[in-house]
Amino acid sequence: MKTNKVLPIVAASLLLQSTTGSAEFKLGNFDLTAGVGVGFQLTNGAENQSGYFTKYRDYRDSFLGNAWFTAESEGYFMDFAANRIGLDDQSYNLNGGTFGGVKYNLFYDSLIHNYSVGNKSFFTGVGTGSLVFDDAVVGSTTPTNADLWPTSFDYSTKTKTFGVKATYPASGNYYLTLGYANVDRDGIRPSLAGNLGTSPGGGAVELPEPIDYKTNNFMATVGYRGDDFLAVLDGTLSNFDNNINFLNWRLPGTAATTTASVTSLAPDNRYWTLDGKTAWHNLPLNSTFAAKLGYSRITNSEALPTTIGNQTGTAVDLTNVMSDTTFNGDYRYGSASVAYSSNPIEKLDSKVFYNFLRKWNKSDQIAYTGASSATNKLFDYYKHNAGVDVGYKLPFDTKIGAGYEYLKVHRNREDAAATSDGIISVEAKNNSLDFLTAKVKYQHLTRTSEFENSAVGTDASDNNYVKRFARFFDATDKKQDKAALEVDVMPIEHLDLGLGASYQFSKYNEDLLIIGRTKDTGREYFADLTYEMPKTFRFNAFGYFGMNTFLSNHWAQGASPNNLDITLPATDKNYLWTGDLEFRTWGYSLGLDIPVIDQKWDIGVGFKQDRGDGRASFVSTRPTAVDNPTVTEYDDYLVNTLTAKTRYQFTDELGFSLGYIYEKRTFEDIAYDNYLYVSGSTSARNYLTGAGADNDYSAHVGYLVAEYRF
Amino acid sequence: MENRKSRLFLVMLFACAVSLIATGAFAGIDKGSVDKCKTCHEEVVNKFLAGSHHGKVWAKGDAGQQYSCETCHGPGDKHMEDNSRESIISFGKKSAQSAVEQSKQCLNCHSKSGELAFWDMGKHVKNDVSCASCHTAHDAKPQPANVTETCLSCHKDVKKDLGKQSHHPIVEGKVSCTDCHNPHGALSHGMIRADNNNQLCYKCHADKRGPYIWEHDPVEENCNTCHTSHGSQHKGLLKERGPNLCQNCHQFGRHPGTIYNGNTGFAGSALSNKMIAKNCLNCHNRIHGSMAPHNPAQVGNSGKFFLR
Repeated sequence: MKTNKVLPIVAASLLLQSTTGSAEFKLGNFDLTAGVGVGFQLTNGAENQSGYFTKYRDYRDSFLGNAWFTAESEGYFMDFAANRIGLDDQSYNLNGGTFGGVKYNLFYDSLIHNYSVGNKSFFTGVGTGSLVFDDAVVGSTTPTNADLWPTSFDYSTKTKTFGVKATYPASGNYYLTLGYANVDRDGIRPSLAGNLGTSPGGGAVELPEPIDYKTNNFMATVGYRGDDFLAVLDGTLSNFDNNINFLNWRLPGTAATTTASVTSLAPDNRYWTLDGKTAWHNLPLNSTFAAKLGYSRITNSEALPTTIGNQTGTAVDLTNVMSDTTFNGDYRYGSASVAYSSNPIEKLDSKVFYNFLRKWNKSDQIAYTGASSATNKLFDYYKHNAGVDVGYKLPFDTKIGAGYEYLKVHRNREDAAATSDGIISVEAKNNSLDFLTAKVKYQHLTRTSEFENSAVGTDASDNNYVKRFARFFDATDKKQDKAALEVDVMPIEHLDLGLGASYQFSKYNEDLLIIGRTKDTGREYFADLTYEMPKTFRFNAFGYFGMNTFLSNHWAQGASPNNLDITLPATDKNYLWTGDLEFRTWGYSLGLDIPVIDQKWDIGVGFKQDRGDGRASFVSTRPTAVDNPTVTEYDDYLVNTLTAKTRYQFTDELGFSLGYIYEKRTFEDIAYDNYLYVSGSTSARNYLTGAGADNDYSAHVGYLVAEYRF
Repeated sequence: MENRKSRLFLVMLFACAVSLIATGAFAGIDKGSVDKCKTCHEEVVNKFLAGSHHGKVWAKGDAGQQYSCETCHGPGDKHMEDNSRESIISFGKKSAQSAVEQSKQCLNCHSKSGELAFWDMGKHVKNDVSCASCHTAHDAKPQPANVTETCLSCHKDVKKDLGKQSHHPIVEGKVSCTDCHNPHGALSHGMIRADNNNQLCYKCHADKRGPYIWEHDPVEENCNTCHTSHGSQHKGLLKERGPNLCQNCHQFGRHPGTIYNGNTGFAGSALSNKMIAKNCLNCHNRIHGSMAPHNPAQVGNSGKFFLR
């Protein structure tokens, strides 16, 4: 997606290579080279099996078209590339300008995001802001028979981005860059909401959320660049407009004439930024000083719903219980950064830095008064971050480095008012052997938290009492160790082998009995091999393995009255339990490219496999034992991809490419296996539409393209 | 139709602007110097002059500053005598010069780019990455033909993430590394193109900016509390999946504290909508923030708890 994107991108061409070199023909004053490709792609219909197959790709029976040209004259140049013309993932890019002068870029890009195919719903009006259903069609006010649901659709969004950018001049001391991008996104995305309006215990309803977004982005940069001094002023403005801000939907179990439930969708907003940057180079002691000041603001003004339907569809008039019917949102961010880097002597490099970031929340506070009153809290924070890095070159092409970084975050959060991080890092790198580079790095983090809830709640029967023991992992005491090793070996010419391993271990609130995450670990390994015999073949292989584990404590709570003191002995109603999760991913890829006849005929084959496997197990202290079987299918997936392609050049101008892709995916997960559109009891019924249930597919894609170069 | 008309207008406007603006600020080629190098490197030199971006920029010039191979590679006389690698400035892994020395040659001309303002502050210069590590001055286009492949040639740890089941469309060619990171240096962590993670994400994910009435604090502070950017085993680029991710923090009340075990799936003996489909998000779907009202008489359909 290229929202707010005004940088030139040359989209990957399926087949064509945009080349320059000796001009092929002249058009006026321009030396021109150009080419077109036409062909087609065919599939076995796998795009209808699963949204995962075409998640970001447009694979369906269709024509294929690419085109490109390069043009140069005495003072001007132009490059153009068009890829997958007419398809949902098409792209166009035009770069041009004068040598040493103005440069411009225009682009258009289409991004498809297919979430899920073959979905169905009892609602009509899918794709709009109003979802209703007809009792006569679906059989009842509670549409439990999915066979009667009338609406079929796919969850898919398409994002179309058009942008322009120009820089003037490309050389000289002053420059100006202007850019604009328009982003249109529309389609349907899966959303959900609680059924019956009661929590906890109620069911859920899957809702097709309409997506109708328009974003207009503007950018401007003014800069001055001298020999040793640079100053830049950057500004951006982005207007996001959502055509449908609230989704009204009829709650199952309510009559057709009742008031709809209301789910909020993305609010409109206006986002602007202003940054000033400066850098001084070639200061004494071979130093550079850089600084940046920034300010940004996100605002909106939204009329709020004043009437909503409750769990029986009865209209609830909130006009008299809300302090304001319009919400004015206002987030402000201020930032400042300074950094000073120096190489005072040849073997020593150093850097000190400081960053500050603050968020002010100046939004309205809307008070809702009644049996359970609530007023929105405004979340603010500010961060101080400072650090130093030093590196020193030792003999035998060895470099060592060390660094220290400090981060203090103040936030107006109920659990932790502030956290302080101290991070120490050391690293060493060696290049003494021509064929070997090795790097090792270690980092230790200590985080301390100013915990605020140590005295909340009056006694163990108070619902708030459990907060004394709850720690949120993102803002609590933590110790973390990270280590990484990377080796690059080139034992013989054209053979490149890369190996890597990393390890991460985090402990939260060590030696303290808490509920929340207590530990997490990460291990990763990879190997990457490339071997090439020029003009003969090129072989590459890549393999990886990763494992992440999470350990956490929890306190089960039955219906009140409760015991919320986790230090007391467990009962069958209130007891401590531990969750132990493990997720592994691994895979490999092999690829071989062979130029059978140099510059005329080449072939390539490849195979890739990616796998994931997860599990969750539980240990409970409940006095009366209850079976807690391990979850064994937890984001388990297997994807095998086989590719084969060949390219043959009949003449200098005419060639063709033929390719084939086979891909098979299987997915097993407790959340989707044995999928049911309707599940649960009457008082907690779930209505789903199939989003994400179409995980498996077996796909064949073939393509043939003829290319002609003018 | 209106959009197409306005786009066509912009294209025409730019074409006119370009045709009206002529700078003529070109430089020439020092042919005498170039001819020296041609005695041994004729094919490379000819290809450079005729086919490379640098060669064409330099060639389309008039009298003024003159450029040649020695502009980048340094004086060549000694190299002509001893033919050694050490007596000439070369670029790449086998260069006799350090990464800093190699980059200095490029920065003699290109230091005045706003994109390179913070090169000295970046991770790349600290890790001995030079301009030539990613760019080839002899190529037709100075930018790498495939940015993602160029980055992944070193950042192999990221390469493994891109193949996981949930990922940004990087391998599909719709997002590149430089959309989020500035490889030429930045003052931010990870050399991202924003002051912090959230402001970077908001550039594309405008629908998540808010402002919301009901905020989810850790979401508003840092998207990476729950998400990872390159690739994940879990849907939605989550670092850990629900319900466990949510249960790591939310302990209050009955259902966050309940074990959702192997019996709670569709085929299990104790089906629970805190496990099936989107687990906690089946009800608390507005997890990034909500604009829905709070119903004081019935909190179950309240925006405050991200239920609406």
